[in-house]
Amino acid sequence: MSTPAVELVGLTKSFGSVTAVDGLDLRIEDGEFFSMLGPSGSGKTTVLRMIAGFELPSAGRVLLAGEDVTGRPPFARDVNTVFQDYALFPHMDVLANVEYGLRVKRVPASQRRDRAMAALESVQLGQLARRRPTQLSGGQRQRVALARALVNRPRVLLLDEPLGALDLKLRRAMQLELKDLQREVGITFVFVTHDQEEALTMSDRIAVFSEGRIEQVASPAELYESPGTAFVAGFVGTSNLLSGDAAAAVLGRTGTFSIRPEKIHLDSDVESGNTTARGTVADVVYLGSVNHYLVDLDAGPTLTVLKQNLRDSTEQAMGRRGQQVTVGWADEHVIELSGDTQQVQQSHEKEKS
Amino acid sequence: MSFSRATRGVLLALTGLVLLFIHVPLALVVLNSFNVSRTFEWPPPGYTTKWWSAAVDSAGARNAIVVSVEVALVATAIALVLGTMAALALQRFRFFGRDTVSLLIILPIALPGVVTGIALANAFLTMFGIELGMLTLVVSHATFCIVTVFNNAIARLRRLGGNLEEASMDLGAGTFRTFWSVTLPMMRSALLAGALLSFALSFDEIIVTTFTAGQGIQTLPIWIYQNLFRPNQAPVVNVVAAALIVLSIIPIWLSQKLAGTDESVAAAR
Repeated sequence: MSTPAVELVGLTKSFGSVTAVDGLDLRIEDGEFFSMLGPSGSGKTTVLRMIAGFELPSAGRVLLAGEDVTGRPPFARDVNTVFQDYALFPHMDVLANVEYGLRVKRVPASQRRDRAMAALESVQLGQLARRRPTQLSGGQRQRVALARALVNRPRVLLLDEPLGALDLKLRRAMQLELKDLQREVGITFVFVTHDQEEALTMSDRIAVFSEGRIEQVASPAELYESPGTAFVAGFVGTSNLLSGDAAAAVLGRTGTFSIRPEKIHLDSDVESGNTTARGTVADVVYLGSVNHYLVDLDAGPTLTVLKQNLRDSTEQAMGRRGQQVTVGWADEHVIELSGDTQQVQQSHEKEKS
Repeated sequence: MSFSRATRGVLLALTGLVLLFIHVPLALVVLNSFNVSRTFEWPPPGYTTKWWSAAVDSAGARNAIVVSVEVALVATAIALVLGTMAALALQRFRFFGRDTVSLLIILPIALPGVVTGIALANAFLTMFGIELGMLTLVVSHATFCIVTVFNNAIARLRRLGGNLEEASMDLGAGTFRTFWSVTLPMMRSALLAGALLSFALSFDEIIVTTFTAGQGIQTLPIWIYQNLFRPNQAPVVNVVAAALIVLSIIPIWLSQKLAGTDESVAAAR
């Protein structure tokens, strides 16, 4: 296997008595769009800051392209960062911001100007080169921050929730643009986000973080369709988690299981061969293109069932509150999970091999 | 907030009263500088510009102004360098006893001038064996000038956070380059405001000065104090005071203009 762009070995970071990152092992391949996904406080941003060099690890090593850079300051690492709040220099215009990295590295003035303008053109901001950052919209600042980092042609680009401050529509557009840009330049992107949809949209692989550890590293489809742990099943997409007595009552098995809401069928949609259960519709949540039905099973637990609004009118859907229904699912869509550490370690092992 | 008509009337009247109370005496100083009467008779029996020409010719006043400006400039320069460095150290690095150091830096401005004066004079004369003079005066002024620069600098650094500096280092700039290209430009307006205040503090300081200046050196406040009660000099002193009032408007106006540049700091957040 080729040398990974980023390799983390036993990476640990403690702040006082709090362990933010706990013995992390991770390989990020060259040219990959890699996302670190997790709730706030799960340690993903701390890992990013240790790769950039803003934080020194309490233990463990950071390798960039096989080279140990653990103790090196940020300015001696071949990575660049797009910050969450962009951190553009307000006392410089857009062009000077983009040129900054090149000027520091003493690239000749003429070449510097050309490269900076090219970087600005690549994010469609060539005409705003002489503006101040304060005169730009949030989306434009985001692009400037991207150009300022990419113009240095780093080996790895680190992105710390760069789309968090944008509105939904702009964020969707930027997601696709970022993905295109990454394919174009071929630079390894390490993208931190708490938005699972964002991670699924853009990434080649995703690491799911929880409490300073990695729960699972997998491709978006693998992560969604066969989550390794209860945490992953719950955090990536919506899940019906069944464990203990509930699992025994509904599935007749012991353990922890997940069924995705869209894999459960309702009444006439139930297919032959499906496992079925009876229940009462407790509530219907209208979500526009789809509805969520909350079904209290006679056996005990409540399942969320997703149904597309293809034929039923809204009134019909809402009218099913309190009705008796049959739900069914194919057995292959029941995912067996394990929330215990053994399973997590197994997924780590798989990652390393 | 909105007020009823009556409340607004009362507030306006009070504001007017306070402004009158502060500025009528100042106006009187300016007016009296043209008063023919040597004893500032009221109402003035007539007006003249002879005191102004007398003041311009007064070697004592001219000399005192030069000394005061020199002391204030040098003390402010020392304060700018040391105050900025102290603020950077305290804001950017965590170390044992950080809060205590911060308190110790600010303390001189809270101490009564008499105490600072006696303490410094004693230290200079006995411990270091230095004659009181220009050097001791400048160093003494610098002790409280540092505080204003330090306070302005640390407030600005707190508001800025470390984000821009991280961005600069991320783009390959070392510590010194980052300070020069990013930190210092972002602090410029705060440092200028601190320097103006520091200059003003030093310029009108009299208590510490009396203890640490020694015999040969006369700053403007000391010259004014010594000449105010000499009947022949009173009109000239008054002219100097009037001139200072007019001159003081410049730094105030400047610092108000500087406050406007804080927008860029807010935008950096």
